[in-house]
Amino acid sequence: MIDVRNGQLVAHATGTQLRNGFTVTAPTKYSARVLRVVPAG
Amino acid sequence: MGSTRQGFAAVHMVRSISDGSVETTSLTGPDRKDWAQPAADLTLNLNGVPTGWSLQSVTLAVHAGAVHVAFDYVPLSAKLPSGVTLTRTFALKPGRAAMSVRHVSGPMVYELTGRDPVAGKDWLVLEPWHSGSGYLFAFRQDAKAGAIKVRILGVNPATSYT
Repeated sequence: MIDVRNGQLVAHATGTQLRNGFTVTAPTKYSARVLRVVPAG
Repeated sequence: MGSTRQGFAAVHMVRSISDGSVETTSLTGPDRKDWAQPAADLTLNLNGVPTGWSLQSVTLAVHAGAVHVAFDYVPLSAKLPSGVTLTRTFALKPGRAAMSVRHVSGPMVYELTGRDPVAGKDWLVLEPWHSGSGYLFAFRQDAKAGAIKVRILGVNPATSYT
């Protein structure tokens, strides 16, 4: 499980890890998180 | 030809993309009913000219109690005048699911479905994906849980992402 804070991946993640799932947090109701996922390097 | 998968938990949308044409091939809700019909998601003629569109950017805005996800496109056809753009905005409101479309000749709005697939309570996750990279938009509505486990479906297992 990969943790995401403030809309950013904490570390690089492999495609397999992302497929398996990671945690997205939103501290309040009716809030949103945005994450841009691009190949590393 | 590519595809995007959007959704969370019991709501799942699959869209195919080929030569600028987008088709929703599957949209299933908690009751597993498939709401999608076999037709192009977007067909637009401008001044009689059939058009195809290429996705350029995705932006997010929150106002008037709703979350708006805007997909900006540019035309594939060289017959269209320069500067023509298309913005498709998904407006996500608690208790209602609707999609509005704006373009240069004026606004037109239609409802994607009158039934909110997540009843204004559960999380909603959208994963627009294009040319090897993408975005993830996670919206917490009235859910009690402050975190959710999400899978990204458009990634290559052998590639690292950041």
